[in-house]
Amino acid sequence: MRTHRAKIRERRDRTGPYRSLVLDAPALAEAARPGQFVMVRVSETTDPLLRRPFSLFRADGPAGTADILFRIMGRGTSMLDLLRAGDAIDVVGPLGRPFPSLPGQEIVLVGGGVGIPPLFFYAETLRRLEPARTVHVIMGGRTDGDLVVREEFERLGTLVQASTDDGSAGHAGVVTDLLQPFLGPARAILACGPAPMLRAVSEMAARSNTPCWVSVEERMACGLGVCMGCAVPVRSDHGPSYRLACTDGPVFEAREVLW
Amino acid sequence: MPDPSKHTDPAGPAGLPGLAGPVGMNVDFAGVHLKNPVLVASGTFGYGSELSQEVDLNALGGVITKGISLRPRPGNPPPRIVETPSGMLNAIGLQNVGLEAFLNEKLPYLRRFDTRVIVNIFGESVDEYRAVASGLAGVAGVDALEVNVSCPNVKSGGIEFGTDVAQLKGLVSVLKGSTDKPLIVKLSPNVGRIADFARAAEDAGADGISLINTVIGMSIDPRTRRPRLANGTGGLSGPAIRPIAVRMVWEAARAVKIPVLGMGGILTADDALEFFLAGASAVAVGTATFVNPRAAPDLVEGLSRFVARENLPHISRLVGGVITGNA
Ligand SMILES: Cc1cc2nc3c(=O)[nH]c(=O)nc-3n(C[C@H](O)[C@H](O)[C@H](O)COP(=O)(O)OP(=O)(O)OC[C@H]3O[C@@H](n4cnc5c(N)ncnc54)[C@H](O)[C@@H]3O)c2cc1C
Ligand SMILES: Cc1cc2nc3c(=O)[nH]c(=O)nc-3n(C[C@H](O)[C@H](O)[C@H](O)COP(=O)(O)O)c2cc1C
Ligand code: FES
Repeated sequence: MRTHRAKIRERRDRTGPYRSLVLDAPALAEAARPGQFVMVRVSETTDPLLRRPFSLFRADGPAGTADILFRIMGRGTSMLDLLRAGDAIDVVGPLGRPFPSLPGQEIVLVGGGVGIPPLFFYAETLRRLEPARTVHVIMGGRTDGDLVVREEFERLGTLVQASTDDGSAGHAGVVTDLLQPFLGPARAILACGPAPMLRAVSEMAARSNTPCWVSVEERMACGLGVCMGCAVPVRSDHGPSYRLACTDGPVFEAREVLW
Repeated sequence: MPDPSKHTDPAGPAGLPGLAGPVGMNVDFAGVHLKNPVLVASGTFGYGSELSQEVDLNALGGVITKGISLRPRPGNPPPRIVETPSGMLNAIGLQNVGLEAFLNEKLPYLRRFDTRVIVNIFGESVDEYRAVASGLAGVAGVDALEVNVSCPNVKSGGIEFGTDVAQLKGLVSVLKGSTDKPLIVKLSPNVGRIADFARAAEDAGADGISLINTVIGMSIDPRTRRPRLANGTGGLSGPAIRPIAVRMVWEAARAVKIPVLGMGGILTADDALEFFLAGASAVAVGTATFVNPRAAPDLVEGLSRFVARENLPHISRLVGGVITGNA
């Protein structure tokens, strides 16, 4: 059963318009893998009607908690922002395919803004399982507030580099400006963020033979594979076709996706 | 209509309400025996296996599959969905695995359950419809066909059959001759007088009708000045269309003798009761499943509780029971 009534154990203001919630959801926490997501009901009424998809930001099986981290964007996320510790929300998950585990590889996590939560979950999980593994993080955003959970990444012992469009923190530019030194078949890239960023990262990875996986965003009605609304254009043996972001993804091998 | 007296719950209304296999809930719909009058609507429940963790198919009256065409269809480019007030627009473009893969890969799963399987079919020509219907004729485990004559998304075909009385009649008579299965014709709401289309389906030999399919709509992003759906227009579903659906079921049910399967924005038992009272003999849950994956089994429980609480011998007692001014 993937439906949970979860009590909010803790709510935190993060940088800028980012918030995080710690949810009491033991079954979800136990099953969650980095890269998977949940569908959150933001209203008990019919407007807004649809659930909102959010990546899992962390999960702690023994503590029975699963976290999400979101950016206030529109109506649904504004309503989520009104919730406080003690309130309960209705969550479906974990959904979708997680990032691959990639034993032995040096990992390069590339993300921007709302793409950062699943990468943090990956880094934290890997740290626990294999403290010695080298993990690089290249994070970007419009401004310094978008470099959400940067300190947490550093505390994990990952090697963080950052870029902002406006130069308010880190390199003034985009994440792909920083990616060049990390390319090559000896490392693996996991990326999550806006489509133009994922496309650019995928192209650099392809040219340099760097294994690369991306987590894509698409409009979702169900998150469960029943509505076929979340089509992602992909290459297949018989020409271009579509796969579903919610059940075939959201993580895809980068070379599979048709940008 | 089934004889209600045959289905009285021996435990009586004092028995535990809403428990498994409620008596007083089974209906005969167009020659298909349903253990209860709750189905899941085409295109909102995949091929039936996707929600195995949430829904025990044995609890449902039946499953209506995603629309099946002769060959696989890739569907439309994204974005395919957009949320609207109390509803959503979709332009999936009838993506499906095609008849052959359905028979080999999808149907065997559905056959494992004690529930009725209704295959939703469509085509871009009478010949294609006929080929799909013939391909399903005699296939064990397929209890009925639901003919989608009303998908508003596909540029070539579909829409003409559902919005032109003569073409609808022609199509249904051809299909009636190409299958042994009960034929349920799914009507388009995008017409002026729904009763004319209901009668046309009945005259041409339909065993039942279902309605409503989605209401054609459009949403434009003022900032980009572009439609929010890549397809431009799409089909509106969800609670936003419920009053339209109830009115159309009411008009259609009064026009024909064949049974009516009602749908459009049903979330709760109260919503479904509107459809029964308007004249539906069974109902289907669509968009609600996206919001609550257990919407359909929850509805079965909600309806049985209502039947018990109201001391009704059988849910069919409600069918067409709306009290209007002249009653
Ligand atoms: C797999 C996946 C994981 C995600 N993970 C996160 C995360 O960890 N943190 C985070 O802040 N955001 C995440 N997002 C994006 C998040 O779903 C949207 O920001 C959110 O749905 C916006 O809702 P709203 O009501 O505030 O915005 P509105 O614009 O009012 O929403 C209107 C509709 O569009 C949909 N929508 C709007 N933006 C997006 C988008 N970018 N992707 C998909 N649907 C969208 C909404 O779900 C809703 O149905 C993720 C999206 C996907 C698909
Ligand atoms: C995403 C989606 C896909 C659909 N696909 C089909 C389909 O393949 N064939 C069909 O006859 N109806 C299809 N429908 C229409 C539904 O079966 C139903 O008639 C309609 O959505 C109204 O019910 P609802 O408001 O409860 O969803 C689809 C609806 C949705 C929302
Ligand atoms: S969101 Fe419904 S199939 Fe992916």
